[in-house]
Amino acid sequence: MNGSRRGFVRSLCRSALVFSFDQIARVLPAKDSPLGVQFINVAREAGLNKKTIFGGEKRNRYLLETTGCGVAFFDFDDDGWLDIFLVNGTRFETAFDAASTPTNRLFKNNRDGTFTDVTVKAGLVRTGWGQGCCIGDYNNDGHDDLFVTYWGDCALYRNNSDGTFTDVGKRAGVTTGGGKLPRWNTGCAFVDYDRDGLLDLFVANYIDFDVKTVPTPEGGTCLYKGLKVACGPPGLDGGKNILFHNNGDGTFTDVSAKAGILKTSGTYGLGVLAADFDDDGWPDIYVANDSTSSALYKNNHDGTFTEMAIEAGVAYGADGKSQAGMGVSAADYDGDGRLDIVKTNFAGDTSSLYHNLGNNTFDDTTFQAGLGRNTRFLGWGAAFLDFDNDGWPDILLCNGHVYPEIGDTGTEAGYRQRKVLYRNLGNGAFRDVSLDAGPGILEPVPGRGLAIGDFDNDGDLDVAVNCVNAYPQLLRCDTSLNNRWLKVKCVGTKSNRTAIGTRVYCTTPDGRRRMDEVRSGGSYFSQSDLRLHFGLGQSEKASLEIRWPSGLVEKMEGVAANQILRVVEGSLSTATLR
Amino acid sequence: MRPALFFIILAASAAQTRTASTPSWRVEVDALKAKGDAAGALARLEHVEQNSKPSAALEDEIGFLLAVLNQRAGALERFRKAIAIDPKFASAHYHLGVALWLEGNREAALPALERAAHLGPKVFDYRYRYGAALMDLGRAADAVTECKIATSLQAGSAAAWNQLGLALQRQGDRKAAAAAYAKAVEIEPTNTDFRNNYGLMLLESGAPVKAIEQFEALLARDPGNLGALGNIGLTYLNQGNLTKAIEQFEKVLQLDPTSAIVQYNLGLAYKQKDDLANAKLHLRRATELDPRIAEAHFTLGVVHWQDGEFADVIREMRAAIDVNSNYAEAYYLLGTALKQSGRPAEAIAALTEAIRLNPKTPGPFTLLGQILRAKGDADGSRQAFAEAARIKKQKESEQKTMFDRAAMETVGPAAGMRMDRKP
Repeated sequence: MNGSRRGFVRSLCRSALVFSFDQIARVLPAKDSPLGVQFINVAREAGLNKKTIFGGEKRNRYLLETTGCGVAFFDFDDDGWLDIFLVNGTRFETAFDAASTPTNRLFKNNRDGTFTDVTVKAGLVRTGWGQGCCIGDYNNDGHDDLFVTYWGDCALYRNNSDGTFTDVGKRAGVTTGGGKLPRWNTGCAFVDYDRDGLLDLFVANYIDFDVKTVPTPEGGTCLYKGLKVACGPPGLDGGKNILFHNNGDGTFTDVSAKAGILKTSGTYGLGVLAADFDDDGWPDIYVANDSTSSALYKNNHDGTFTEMAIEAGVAYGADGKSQAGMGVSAADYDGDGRLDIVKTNFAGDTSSLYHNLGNNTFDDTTFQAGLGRNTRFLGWGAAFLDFDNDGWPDILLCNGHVYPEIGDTGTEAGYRQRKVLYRNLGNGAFRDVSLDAGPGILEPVPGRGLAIGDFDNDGDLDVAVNCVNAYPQLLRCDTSLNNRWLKVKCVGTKSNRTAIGTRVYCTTPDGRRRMDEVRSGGSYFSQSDLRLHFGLGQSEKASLEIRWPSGLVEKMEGVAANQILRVVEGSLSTATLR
Repeated sequence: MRPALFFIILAASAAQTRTASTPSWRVEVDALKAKGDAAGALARLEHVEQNSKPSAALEDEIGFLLAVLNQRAGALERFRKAIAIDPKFASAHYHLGVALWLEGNREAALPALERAAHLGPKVFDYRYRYGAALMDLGRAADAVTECKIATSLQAGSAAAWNQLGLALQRQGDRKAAAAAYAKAVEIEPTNTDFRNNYGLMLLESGAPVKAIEQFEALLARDPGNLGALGNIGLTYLNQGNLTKAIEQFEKVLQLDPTSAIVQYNLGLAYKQKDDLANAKLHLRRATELDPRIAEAHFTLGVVHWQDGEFADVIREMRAAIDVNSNYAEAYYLLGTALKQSGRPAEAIAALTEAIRLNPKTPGPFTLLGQILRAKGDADGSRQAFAEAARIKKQKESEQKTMFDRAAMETVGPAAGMRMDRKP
């Protein structure tokens, strides 16, 4: 009965343009889904009604027009409800009037399922080739700040704690400008790499891109499936990643060379993820690189890093071949206490799943885990999320082809592509459950940035997606499952205020231990909710162990399920020092 | 030697113009030839030879008739004798070259054909055959030169234009190759091979719509032409239009379910559609129909790999290697699957062989480094990683002139198989 109903709905979706996916979805309650979960796109009624502009809609002359931009779930006004920031782009050879000029957008959460565009009031209006965004309280004033990367000068928006922001990027020394060419800054992450309690900043770079010299499709140099397309990145000079050290006085210093970040060749860097992969208490940095080996910067505890992706087994695919890495996420998917990595790649390839074996060694388990079965999608945003709150991190991948030119050719999965949702089976393997996960997952869109967060604070994880030349998506998770959950908002005192790098272990009475870290950036150019979310299954309580970047370890026992817990560093009685 | 073919090849140059002063034996020999009485003509010429001064032309003609009568050794001897009498007698060099070529002695044939072309620079046959020989020996640049001369000597020869197209294609000059094929098709529009070549060249040149036009023109004359039907499917496949490709291949298989190539292409289309069950079905069928298609075993193995079925991968890679012992990619994936199956020693052996066969791919070095690292061989691991890094850097440097993202290594083969492909 359910199957035939779903089939009917899907057939409507394919043929009847008068219905949108979200409208049709109204007829399919989550309880009718075999998963017990449905993702519904509620962007339009929630008020996310501004298109993201990014390059030509039908054809692109430059790679810059294809890569799109990120999205952030963050609580800019500290009211306990996630707001949404959407990076925007622009177009070559298009003169916008004042009303239609694209700009980044900040949407304030009205706490009733809707949002209000507060971009102008917040002082965040800016037009340009926006790329990524990441969140962190760089000045430890208790209010999360916003960093936005550009092809060109980046912006560091200091949160003024009154609903407004001020771009202090130039004063802080993080614009990355000053060279012969504008830098193509991409993914970013705040990270306290030296554990001094101040958030530093890592910015990946893609290509040294010169619009005047890069070959264009008209030359016929660059073909994809017989179509003339924008050239690169193969054949173009790779950009250099940047590490900024926070001086503690509102300024940063570029320490890329001193820290060993420049010891890799041009790397076509895109997605950035900072996390403690080797469990030594110091954050490492992983960068998903396009068309070449990805990079893993291991923290040497002395202000320097050693790039060791090849040795660690996270540079290439399972067969040792280069991939076109885009987005990246980390989680302990098998409950062994170590952070594993998922990475999206180009069409014709699989996504990558790297299982952390410890001791800076990973095993590519893409094929063993069941992620080898999808090759037709071109992946961007990537996230581990426990969508069904069963305690096992699942995987959501956001897709969309890079070349709009293929839109009419019926190529592979098309230009607009659906997402892929893998359910963690709890035995090291995943099952593709996309077809049962609701219209928000199945609607084909040119997706790019993807962020995870519980915008309605109902205990399940929702999804925000930034699309190119399309409206954003807000995928509300509707569940009929009765699994429990726990959300932990960490606030640093000795550690950085955003508590980035804090690791939390969550153990349920059945002995199962989950683990996650507070992290900035990640996915593809995006920022997910800084509150850690743990699915508890049927457990009514859990114990927590919180390891702050300062070295402090605190524990909480018998924490009741289904609550959002705010934990301030040093405020718990069971504190010990590592 | 194949007398009929030999006769056709030589016939043009053997014919000579007769005048009033032509001796009577000449008239008689020509008459016997015209009747198809090669033995009679040969007997008459041998009689003439006994009463004549040594003549290169006579020896050459006797050699020709011996060849027609399948007396290979005798023919070669006569051609060589003719050359001994007159080293500048182009026809004898030409006949010797063709005879040696048809015997399979290509290395010896080439100098003879080259000499003929040198001595008779304006003779179409000499230039055309020499060009064809160069092409067969992989000397595409030289073949292009000869074929261009041949087409200038006889612009109405569709075969010469087609040969030029093949040589240009081999050189990678797609645009010029397409133009040469177009000329061949214009001259001889009913020739299936020429039009198929033209269509496939258009496909490779990024003109799939025009390619399909050529294949459909073939089908208009011959609706059951499996090659054209299959190549239309191939065009859709290479475009990534998988639904249409599958429809087309299914249509061909209804006409001829025994085509291993079409089964392979259909399996590949399903693979690219991520329909792994159907991909396995058709790729398996391809291997059953023609176990000599190594790529079918390889691709079937890749599909099993995607499904995490490493034992099946190992079986198919070994089958591919049985067919083609120089199949570096098969050794590479064999090594990968063995590593993933927890069989490091065998993996090392397979990867080492992959590296021996193709030392310019970083992937096997990387995997080797990982296995050695896991085994605790730090030095060996470092060396392997360093070599991988060196090759990668070199490749990236080469990529400065190549912007093609599709050229990236991805899971399994990207293109389908031509209908005229020989295992």
